[in-house]
Amino acid sequence: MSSHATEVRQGERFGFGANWMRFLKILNDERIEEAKASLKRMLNVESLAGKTFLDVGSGSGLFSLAACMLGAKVYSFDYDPQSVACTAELKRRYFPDDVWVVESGSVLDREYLSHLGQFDVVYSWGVLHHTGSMWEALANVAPLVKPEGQLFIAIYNKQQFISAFWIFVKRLYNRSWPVVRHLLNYGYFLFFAGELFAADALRGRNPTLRYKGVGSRGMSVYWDVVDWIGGWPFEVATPEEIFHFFREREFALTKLVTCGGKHGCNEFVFIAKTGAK
Amino acid sequence: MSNHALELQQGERFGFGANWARFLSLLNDERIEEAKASLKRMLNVESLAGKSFLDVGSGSGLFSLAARMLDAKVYSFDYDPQSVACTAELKRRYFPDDGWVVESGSVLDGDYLSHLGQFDVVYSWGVLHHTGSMWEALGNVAPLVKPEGRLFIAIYNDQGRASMMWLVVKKAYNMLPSWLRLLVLIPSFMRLWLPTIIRDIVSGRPFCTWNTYLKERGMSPWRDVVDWVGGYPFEVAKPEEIFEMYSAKGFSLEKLKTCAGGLGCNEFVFRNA
Repeated sequence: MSSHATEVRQGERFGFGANWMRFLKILNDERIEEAKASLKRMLNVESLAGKTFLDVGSGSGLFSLAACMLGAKVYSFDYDPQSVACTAELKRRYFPDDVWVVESGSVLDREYLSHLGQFDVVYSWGVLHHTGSMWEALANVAPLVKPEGQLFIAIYNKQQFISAFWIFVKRLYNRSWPVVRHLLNYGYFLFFAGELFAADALRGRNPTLRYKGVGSRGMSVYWDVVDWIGGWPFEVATPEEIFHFFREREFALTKLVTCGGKHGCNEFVFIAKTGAK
Repeated sequence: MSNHALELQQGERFGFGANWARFLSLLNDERIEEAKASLKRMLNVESLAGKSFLDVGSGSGLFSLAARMLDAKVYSFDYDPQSVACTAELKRRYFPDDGWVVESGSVLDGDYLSHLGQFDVVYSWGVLHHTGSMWEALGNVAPLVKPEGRLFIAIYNDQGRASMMWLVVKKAYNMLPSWLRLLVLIPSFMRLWLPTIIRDIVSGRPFCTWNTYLKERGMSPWRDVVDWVGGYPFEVAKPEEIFEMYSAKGFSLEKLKTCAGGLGCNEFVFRNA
C-alpha cells in the first residue's frame, strides 16, 4: 500500500482527489474561462506563451489546464493518486498530444524536486498547508522559481481562536466513520449555504449564481465546503508570516489578496529577485 | 473660529487631542521605552542618528519623542490644536532647546506640505484614515519620503460589514448631543468587551484581560472605547489596497503587520525604491 493510501486509511489524511473526480462531471467552459481570467489577473499577463508553468498539487487540474490554454508549457504533480488521475483525465480531454506532464510527486520529497528544474511560474493554490509540513513545503518551492520568475501561492489565513476550532473539526472528520462524514458534509454545507444566501440577499445579489460556477475560482460551492471540512493535514499562516518568509529569501511581493480575516486563503504573487534562494 | 473647531462643533470631527492630554498624565519611562523599541523593530534600526523624521499627526507626541530619543531630527505636525499642544508639552519636558519642530498643519493642505521638504522617515500611525480623505492623504505623504527613505504607516483594517456598522455608530455618536451619547457608547462597549469579560469569568480569571489592558495601555478600557466610538472621520482599507497603491508609486514593502482581519490597524513599512 502506498504511503498516501496508508495515511488516508489511518485518518491522517483527507482524500482530496476523490472530490476532484466528482468535480470533473460539472466542469464546463465557463469555469475554465474563470480559471484563465484568475491566472491572467494575478500574474498580470495576457498570455503565458513561451513560459514554463509548474503546478504544485494540481488537484482537479483546472488551473494546469487554464495555464496550458494560455500557452504555457505545463508540468503538474500531486501527492494524491486520484488528483493525478483527475489532472491526467483533463489532459486527455483537452490536450492529449501536448508536452504537458502529469505525474505523482511530493513537495516534501527534495530528491524528486531537484530533478524538476526551474520554472517561469510556480503555482500552488491552497496546497502547501495540507502537506503536514507547511513551512518546509514553502521553503521547497522557492528554489523552483527561475530568477525573475513568479511564485503564485495561496495559504489558509490564520484566525484567532477560530483556527483552533477548525483543526478540531477536521481531525474529528478524518477519524470518523463514513456515515458521520456524510452528516458533517451536509450539516456544514447547510451552514455555509445559509450564510452565503444571507450575505447575497443582504447585498441584493442573486444567491443562485454561486451554484452556476460564477464564483471567483470556478469551483463548486458544495465540494468546496466538503474540501474545507475534510481538508487535513491543515496549517495556517498570517499574511505577514508568508510575506516575511519569502522576503528573507529575496522574493518581492507583487500581488496580495487577503480574505479579510475570514476563513479562507490569502493569495500572494512574488517575483524571485536575482539571487533568490 | 478655526476649521478644526468648526468641524468639531458640527459633529463632523472627534476631538482626539482632548484624550491625548489625559494620556500625558499617564506617560512614564516604560511607555517611552516601548515606543522606542517599536520604532527600532519596525524600521529595523538601532538608532536614527543623522536621520530626519516627519511625524504626520503626532497625537500625544509619544512617537516623535521616541524618535528624538533615538537621535532623529524630528518634525511633528497635527491638525488638532490639543494634539499640537500635547506634543509641544512633551518637547518642553524632554528637549526644550532642540531643533525639534512642533506645529499645526494639515496633511490635506498640499501647499503646506510642499514647504516641508523630504525626510528619511515619514511616520503616520493611525492618522490618515481620520482625515476625511484617506486616499488623498496617503497620496500626499508619498512625495515627502526621500529616495531610499522609509514610510511607516498604520491604517484601519477593512472588516467589510463590521466596518460599515462602526461607521454608522461613529456618525451617530458625533451627531448626538453629549447627554445622549451614552446610548451609543453602552451597546458599543458591550459589543467590544462583554465577550472578553464572559470568557475571562468562564476560564476562572475574572477581569484578567481588563486589568492587563489597563496596565499596558494606561488608558481605561472605557476611555479607549470612547476614543474608538468617537473616532471620526473614519475610513478603512484592506492590506492589499494599501500595498497596491504604494507599489504603483514605486515603493517596496519591507514590513507588514496585519490584525488578522480583526478590529484595529494594519501596519506597513515601505521603502521609496
